[in-house]
This record gives sequence, structure tokens and C-alpha cells, in this order.
Amino acid sequence: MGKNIIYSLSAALMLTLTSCGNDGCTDATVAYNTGTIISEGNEDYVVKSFYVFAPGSISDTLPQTMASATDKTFQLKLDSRNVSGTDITSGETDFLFFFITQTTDSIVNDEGEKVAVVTNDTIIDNVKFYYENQMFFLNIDCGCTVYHFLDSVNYTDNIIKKIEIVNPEITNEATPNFNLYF
Amino acid sequence: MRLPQISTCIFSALMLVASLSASAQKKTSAMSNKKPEYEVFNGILVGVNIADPILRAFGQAYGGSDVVVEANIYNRFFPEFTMGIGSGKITSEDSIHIKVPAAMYFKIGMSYNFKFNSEQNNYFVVTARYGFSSYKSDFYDLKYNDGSWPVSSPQNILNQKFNSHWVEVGGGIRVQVYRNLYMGWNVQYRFFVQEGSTKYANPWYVPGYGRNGNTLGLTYNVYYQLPFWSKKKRVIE
Repeated sequence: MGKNIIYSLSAALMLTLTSCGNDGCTDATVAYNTGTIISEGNEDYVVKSFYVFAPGSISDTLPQTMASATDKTFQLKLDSRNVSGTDITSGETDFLFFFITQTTDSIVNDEGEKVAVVTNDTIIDNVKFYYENQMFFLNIDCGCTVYHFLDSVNYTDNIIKKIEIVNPEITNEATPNFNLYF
Repeated sequence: MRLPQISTCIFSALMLVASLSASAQKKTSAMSNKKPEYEVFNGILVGVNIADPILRAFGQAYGGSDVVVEANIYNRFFPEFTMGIGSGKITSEDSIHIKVPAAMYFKIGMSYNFKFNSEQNNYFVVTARYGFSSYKSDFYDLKYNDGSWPVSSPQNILNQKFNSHWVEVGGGIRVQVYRNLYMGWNVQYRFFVQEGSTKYANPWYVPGYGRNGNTLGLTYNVYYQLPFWSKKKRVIE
């Protein structure tokens, strides 16, 4: 009988332990449109850095900031507010790319000496992505995410030379989706 | 498949159970090397899992119950078949509602009794099972918030059909309570062979498996040995 009591008590202990559940959301919940920036050089100016702003986003600060134009990848969040259950919806998001450029010129001063003059400027390009949205339920702790499928992209060419889509399926935060050449 | 992350509390509890069980044994481990003393067939046990109904009575949002039928082979091998039904319903802190209507599940497996040549009707077993369930789920009031754009309006993902397969490995004990009546528990580590996610959702609750993401499971069964057969010792020559 004593052994039976021990067995029953150990069962009660197991019962409480197996109710140990998850530790909250640990999965990545945002699928980023990841771009790779590629410099092709320019004789007239040097692009020192750039940052991206999305008109209509809720954040007062810029959602994506890059310290240097030589950084390899950057991530953009696409507007997904029109998702609809199991329906595939179409979406489009405008981004403003602010490129900080630096131009160096030589002038002759009053003493007849050559002096280098460095001029910084900000040049803006508009980029618009067209895509499809699909909702996906991850788990009870993380809720849902939205996957995208890039259809096309339009852009101005003040600094940007070309944008090509290399992987249209946006399902995570790391896989590169497009290349931006400037 | 996900590897388990066994917390220190679970591991220490398992060690506690092992020490309690070891202290209760009268016979030494040398007995396990002797030849079986029982006939090939020693009866059929029918058990009912009462762990989930108890947990649901204490507020767990999902669960079910099942019946298991086992055959006693040499008092050493216990092939088993389990059939059950499970359901679930929950509202999360973010007001997401999930419903899993009642669905059947099935398991087939085998337990091995380490105390196969004991005269007492108590068993220490290791168990392996393969489980399967086909079920539906509905997800309500899903809102997407990425922190940069306005939150989407609540959406529903309905009538998602899942087919999940999994493996359970574990161990437990079973004791004779009175004549043909037995009680016992079994704790298992579970992992998916096929999680069964659809194009729009991962499963939240899998009947027979439990909540997706939990890798530990518990069954607590009440068994009845059918009275038509009894364990028969044979003389070792």
C-alpha cells in the first residue's frame, strides 16, 4: 500500500509538470522585404549613406536607417493592413530613399591656391513595390504574420540605376528579395 | 521536429521519481537477466485515460479522453492500441479565438515491462507509440501588427483541415489496486513526424498530442484486466 501511495504522489507531480507550457512568443512574426544594395560607382559624386522613409507609416521616426551606403542588406516592412483571412489581397507601398551624396570640387582662392570644396547634398528617389498579401497563423503566443509575393517595382532614377527582384516570396526576415543598384 | 528543452525542474522531478521508485523495489536488478517465467499470453487489459478530463476540470482549454487495449505477452511485452476523442477552445490575451471541434485520434505502440519476472502485479515500463489525428480548426479575430503600419482589421481563418502524425517515447508505472483493477501513469516525450500545417495556419491543439509546442505529455490510466485469462507461471527447466 505504501508503494501505491508513492506511485500516486509521483503521478500527481508529473501531472503538474506536464502543464508547463510555452515561454511566450519566440518566433519571428514579421516577414521583411529584404534588399541588397550594390554600388556601381559614379564619377561626379560619392553616396555616403542613405535612409528610407515610408509615407503613411505610423512611426514618426524613420523605419529603416542605414549608416552607410556600403551596408549590404536592409529591411523594409510592407503595408499589410488590407489582409483578409484566407483571401489573397493586393498591396502597394511607397518608399522614399534619401541618398546623402558628397561632391568634391577644386577651386582657386584669392591667393591663387587650389582648394578642395566638399559639398553634401540629399537626393531623393521614390520606390513603389506591388505585391500580394497572405495571412498565416503562427501560434497562440505570436498570433499571425503576413507573407508577401512581390509582383513588380517602379522607381525614379535620380540616384538609383536599377532594382531587380531576385526572390519574390517574402516569408522571413533574412532571405534577400531585391537588389538595388546605384 | 523540435528537440526538447527540459527545464531543470522537470529533470529534477524525474530524478525524484526514479529515486522513489528505486527505494520501493525489493528485488535487485540482477533479476532482469533471468529467463521469463510467464506463459506467452497472459490476458488483455482495457484502460481509460483520466488525465485530460481532470486537467480540463481544472481549467485546461483542451483535452479529451481515450481507451487503450493492451495484450500481456510474457508479462514483458504489451502491444497496445488507443482510440480517443479530443477538442479545444481558447481565447488568448490578444482576444484571438480558436476552436477545435471534437475529433478522433489513434495510437499504436508497445510497452516493455522491466519487472517481467516479478511475482507482484506492478509494472515499470518504457513505451513507444505512433499517433495520428485528422481534425479541423477555426481561428477568429486575428489582427496583424508589425509596429510600422496601422493594425489590420480583425480577420478569420476558418475550416482549416489538419492531418498530424507524431511519435511518443516515454515510461511509467502501473500498480495493482484491487484484484483485476490497475492504475498507472505514463509520461512521454512527443515529437511530430508531420505537423500538418495548412497554407494559412499552424495547428494550435492536436487531439491526442496536446498543444502544439508542448513536447511532454502525461496519461493516467485506470485499467481493468479482463477476467477470462490470468497470468500463468511456467516451470523453468
